[in-house]
Amino acid sequence: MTPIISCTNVCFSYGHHEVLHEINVTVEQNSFIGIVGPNGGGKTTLLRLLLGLEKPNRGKISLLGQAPEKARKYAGYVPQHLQYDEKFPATVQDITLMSRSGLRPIGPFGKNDKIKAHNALSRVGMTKFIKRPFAQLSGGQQQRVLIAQALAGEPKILLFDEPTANIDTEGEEAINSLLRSLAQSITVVVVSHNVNTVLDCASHVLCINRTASMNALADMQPELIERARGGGVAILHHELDCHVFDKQGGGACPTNSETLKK
Amino acid sequence: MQFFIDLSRFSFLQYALIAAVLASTASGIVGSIIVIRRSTYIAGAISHCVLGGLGVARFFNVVYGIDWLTPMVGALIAAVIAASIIAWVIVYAKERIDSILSIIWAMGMAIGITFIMKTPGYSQDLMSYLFGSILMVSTSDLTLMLILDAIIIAGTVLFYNRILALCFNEESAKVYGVPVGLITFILHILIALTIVLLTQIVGVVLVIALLSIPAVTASRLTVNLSTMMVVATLLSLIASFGGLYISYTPGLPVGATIIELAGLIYCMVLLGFFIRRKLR
Repeated sequence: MTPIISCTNVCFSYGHHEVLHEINVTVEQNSFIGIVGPNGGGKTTLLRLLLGLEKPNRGKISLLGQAPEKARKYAGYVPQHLQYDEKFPATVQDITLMSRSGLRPIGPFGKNDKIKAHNALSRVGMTKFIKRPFAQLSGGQQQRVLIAQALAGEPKILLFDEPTANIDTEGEEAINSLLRSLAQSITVVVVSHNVNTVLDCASHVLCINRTASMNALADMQPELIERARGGGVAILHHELDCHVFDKQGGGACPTNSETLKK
Repeated sequence: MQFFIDLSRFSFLQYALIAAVLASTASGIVGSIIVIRRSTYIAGAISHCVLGGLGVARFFNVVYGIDWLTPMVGALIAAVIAASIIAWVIVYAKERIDSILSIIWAMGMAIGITFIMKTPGYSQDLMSYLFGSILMVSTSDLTLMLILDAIIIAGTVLFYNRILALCFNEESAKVYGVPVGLITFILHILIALTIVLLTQIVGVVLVIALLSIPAVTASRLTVNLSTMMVVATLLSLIASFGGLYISYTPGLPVGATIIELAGLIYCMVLLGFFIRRKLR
């Protein structure tokens, strides 16, 4: 079966600063990948490369077996910081439907599009806000609508960049639960600083810090996982050069400089 | 009262009212897009570049007798060229867009003034190009305006969803399969056509005002783009009819009066919001 994501020897630089070096990653369908790594390690850049929003200096990327520019219409993307006018005149329904605008070249949205948007909003618990102006929602509510927007396009792969960053604890659990249910039918890739999101949902962890290494979550050190689950640990900090997701006796993530901190 | 008596007698007043309806429709629709996309400076550059087209066309029309090259046709050509250059720069070039707009803005004005001054005869037309001449609209002008309006309405209805997605966030639109380059080009052509249409009413200098003031006012009163377009059209219509009526008897400049009235409506809406907030 063709992998849903394939990166071969991918290098990318902003000017003379190399952000990603020799990335080789393969992701099979219906996987749930948690991407972790320090700030500036290249996590968001990798997502942008996968979507064709940036072009690699070297190497080859394919998404769903095609060039990212061709395949990205089958992807749902929730960026960490989406820049938009705070007073943008659109309802929640308008915003949700936007992911279907590539599927309908001309003319207004049909009944089917609106049903898909409604279903997507229902999955994030935002249907009661469907006619409300998007600008009047809180940051967390807007984030949930943007997730619904990504879902409404019926994507084959979902790419999230810090999906729980603006959401309270209650909302966070709802989002994690949603991510888990999504992963049963489609491929989900999540960049997250939040250990709960990664540990609760991911089947594999991709550690990125200029280079990349993929690790099955089942191979991770159990006490670290337990500590993260029950010890009140919620956030990954990037301070010391120690390897959080090391295999026992191994060093599965030698490039990652993350530390778990209470 | 004299206005209404003359309206039933003189065709130039009837034409002016029809022109106001056609211009308001375009102004409300495209003005709303310009306001939410924060592109008023782009509209300013295209509108001032239009003067170049008007001047060049009139020169060749008068000096070389090229009948088809009327000032309106010249304006249309200049606006479409300017809009295409701007769209190309936005999509493909890495130039600073504000610098490019300033160049287009100033070059259009300079070329226009040069050709108008070198055209033999009375240069009274310069004033009508700068500040509009709604009372001098001819049937051929109305026909062209009607065609432009039809293109603007059709273009907006057909591409509304994609334009909305593009205005919200360009990168998201790109990910969701919106052909961002093509939609940006179409959007700028619609802006160009609207500017040509409005130039007839308020002139190149005041076009930005008629594009932006009713739309900004509408944005305070509505929650989505389609409603904003309808309300902006109605506000533009009120300002145009009102401006025509108020200016008629005392002989005030019509274009300027329309803009002043639109500005007054905006201030009244702001005042209304202010009073409502105080009363709460």
